[in-house]
Amino acid sequence: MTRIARPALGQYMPGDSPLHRLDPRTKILFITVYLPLVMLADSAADLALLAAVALGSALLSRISPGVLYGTLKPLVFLIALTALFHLVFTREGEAVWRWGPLALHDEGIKQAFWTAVRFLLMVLTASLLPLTTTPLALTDGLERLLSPLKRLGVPVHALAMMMSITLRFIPAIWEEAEKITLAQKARGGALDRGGLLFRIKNAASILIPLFISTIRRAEELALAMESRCWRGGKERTRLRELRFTELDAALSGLLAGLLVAVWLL
Amino acid sequence: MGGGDMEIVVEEMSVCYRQGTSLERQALSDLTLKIPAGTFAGVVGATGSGKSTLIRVLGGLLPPTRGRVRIGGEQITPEHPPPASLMSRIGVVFQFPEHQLFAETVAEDIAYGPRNLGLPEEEVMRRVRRAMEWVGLSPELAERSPFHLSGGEMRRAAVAGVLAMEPQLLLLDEPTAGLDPAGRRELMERIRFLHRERGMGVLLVSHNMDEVAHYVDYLLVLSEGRCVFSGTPSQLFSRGELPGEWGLDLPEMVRLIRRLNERLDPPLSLNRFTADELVEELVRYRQHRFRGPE
Repeated sequence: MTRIARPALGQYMPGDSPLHRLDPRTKILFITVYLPLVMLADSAADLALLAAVALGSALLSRISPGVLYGTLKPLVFLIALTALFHLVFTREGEAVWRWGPLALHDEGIKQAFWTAVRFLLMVLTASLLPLTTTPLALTDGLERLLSPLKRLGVPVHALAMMMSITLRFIPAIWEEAEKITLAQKARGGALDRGGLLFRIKNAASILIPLFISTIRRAEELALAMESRCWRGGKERTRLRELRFTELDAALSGLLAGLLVAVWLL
Repeated sequence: MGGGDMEIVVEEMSVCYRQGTSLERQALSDLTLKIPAGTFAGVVGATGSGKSTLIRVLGGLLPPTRGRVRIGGEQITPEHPPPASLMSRIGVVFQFPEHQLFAETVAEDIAYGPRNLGLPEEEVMRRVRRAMEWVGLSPELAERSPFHLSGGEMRRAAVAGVLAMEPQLLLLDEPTAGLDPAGRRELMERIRFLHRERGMGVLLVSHNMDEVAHYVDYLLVLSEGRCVFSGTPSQLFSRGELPGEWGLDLPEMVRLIRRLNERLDPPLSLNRFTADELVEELVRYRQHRFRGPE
């Protein structure tokens, strides 16, 4: 009947797993290196290793498979489509199956499979970051990692603040969207039936109030920040200092190992 | 409308949000309650006691996790969502309903619900005019943009959008929150009028104890997802004290009468909920004392 019981996409899931306890900087660094590695890996052994790391971290995070599946689900269609393109348009290797102008080549099947695996690994690993890191820690980590750019005049703090506000408001806007959807549903507007025109009209009945409330929210937030003298992080000290622990050392070790392994294999 | 057969029976119903994640939250647990057909019923309870969740389930918008609900001869269970015919008989006014306005004109917005019911255009327009009259919006506002109305007018336009579906049962989630006192009174009076004249069943969720005491004939108290009291407001407030964990205040009038009773013998009855009723009671009290044997 409704999607309300499902957590918002990529929303932080409180917990006390090793992944939760890692320093956000380490996690961000890990992801920035891991994602290109998945794209560059060119042997089955490489990808198997990277998959083992991804699945291992997913297990370690103690996030329920249902939630993980929920974050992957919206992308399944995209992944399937990409795989299909590889399947149909790759004309290398032996033709395994022919039907009129269509032909499946063994190289195409291979590529489709590996593309799907690559995508799944990237989405899974990338989604573990917001799932196990509070938006606050995420922003802090990013700000610290980018802080060398301050010397070049990049407004790192303002950028980090914008990111944190965006992250902070995703669940709020998601909830708002659900509330409006319910309200319109109670007025007989069901998004899951009717012709195209009916659906477009119904989408407007949700999107227009949602835009309005988002703009109102932004205005109120700007006022609230200004009334509390926000000055873009000048002379600001922190309540929570980020600290590296043995866990972070372990993950950095793993990352170095992965780099070498993908290089060699 | 006519809410003759819209009895509400809830049996051992539980609702759990985000089941199976670390954010799991039990909003209603083993709730059992019964609201007679055609009543003006009220639900009160502290924040987080499950009031809004109850409204969503009764409106057919959220399936219960366990248990069942019977409304107007239809069943809602975790496996069986309510039939569309039931949902069209129930109107839901959410908190801050003006946030759901979207159309280019007030009339178009109010027409959204009736059109979704598949009514002929003539009937839709008739209902729009009538709903505007019910909530007290003057007809010349019909062609205005809903976003150019005042706050109170926006609220009334949104309520009209629900009333235009002519529900037999109206569920209201804090309909007067954020309105000024005159606006609150007017909206509640109009809803009471529809209840009395058209027999529409009403279920009002409110934080305002004065409002509840004044308008409601049957009252439910929710606390931590359970129903801890059901009966008339008089039955509840004549107790004089409410358990602290319910998180509720007594209505202002009841508190005033209790202060008066510290000095009066015999004491005044505690079930007077408006200033007028109290004045009447005091006049009667004085006459009684003058005539009384002393």
